[in-house]
Amino acid sequence: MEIQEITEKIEMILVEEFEIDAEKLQPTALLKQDVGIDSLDFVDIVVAIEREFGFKPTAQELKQVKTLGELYTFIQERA
Amino acid sequence: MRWNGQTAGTTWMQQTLVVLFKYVDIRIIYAIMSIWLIWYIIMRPSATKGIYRFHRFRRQRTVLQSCIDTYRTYYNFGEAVMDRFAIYAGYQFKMDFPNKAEVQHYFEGKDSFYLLFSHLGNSEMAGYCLNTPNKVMNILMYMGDTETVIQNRTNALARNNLRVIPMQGEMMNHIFAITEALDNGEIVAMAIDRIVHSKPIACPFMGENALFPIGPFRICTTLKHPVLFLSVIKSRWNTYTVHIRLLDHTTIGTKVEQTNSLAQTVVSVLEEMTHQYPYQWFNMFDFWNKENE
Repeated sequence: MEIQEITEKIEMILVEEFEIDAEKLQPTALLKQDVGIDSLDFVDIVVAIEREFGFKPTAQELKQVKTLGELYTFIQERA
Repeated sequence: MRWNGQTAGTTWMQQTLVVLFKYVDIRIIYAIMSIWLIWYIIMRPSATKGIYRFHRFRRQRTVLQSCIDTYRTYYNFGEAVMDRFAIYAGYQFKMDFPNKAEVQHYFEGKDSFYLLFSHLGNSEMAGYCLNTPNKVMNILMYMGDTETVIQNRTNALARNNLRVIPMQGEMMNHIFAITEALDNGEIVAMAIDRIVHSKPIACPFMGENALFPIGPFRICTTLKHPVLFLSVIKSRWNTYTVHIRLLDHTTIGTKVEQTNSLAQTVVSVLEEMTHQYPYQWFNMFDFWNKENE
């Protein structure tokens, strides 16, 4: 899957489901500090990734992911 | 002021209690505690004011009645704490379970479910006394207690196919432990009245809006499984009664609406039970204090 397609899907989820301002969604944005994702939001992110990309990330994998850009790359490698 | 997540007493005191219960009748310990409590309530007004305010303002009791009710609640709470150490020492309590037949299939089936509980009564007893041989029950627990309580609790729970999911700090570990447990067809038990590492949600409770943690309700609405509400009420000195109720869990509306709806449902059941057993309301956190918002 192309990174552009992954970016669009994730941005759509964050804007529509998490009601996050699209302007915050820069690849360098930190998920917790800049985007405002808390630990409970990660449950929704895992569910959304499983639904949209067909795999379920583990805690260890997601712990390595700090920025949005890293999330896109991680999904591309696993999907 | 938020609850600090600790059982009172030093490690040495708690270890002594466990040993004491092996040799002394539990009723003698209750009697000693009933006298010591008078001193405790008089000397620790800041610690007991949450319960006093609960009776005085939420139950509209007079000042004198509220003082008596505070003692009564603390006596019951003292029994609950002592009973926990009695369990650690190997003591067995009788357990009544009036609607067991209605909910038994959840415990015996292969599917996951949530078991929500509060600090009304002594829910921890369910963990020690409900035997779930075919199913692991995971209890989400804040690990602020002393090493003695954590170790004894973990040992006692392990005897009954129970596992503690530690909630420490803002880490995601417990969130993933919950999802893994649900994937494995296990039970996930969570307290709905401890605001620790969770954003609050306001729900009408005992006549006024009170703050509850949003976390358990968010998890239940995101990862959909049946939701049961548990209360374990002490009915005699050596007997507990288990109340379990299946809750309506709407899947209509946005995620926020579903979360709010579940929170309101759970809190209304809690309120009904609290009216029935006001002297077993053991949550010392002052939910209605505006300073907590």
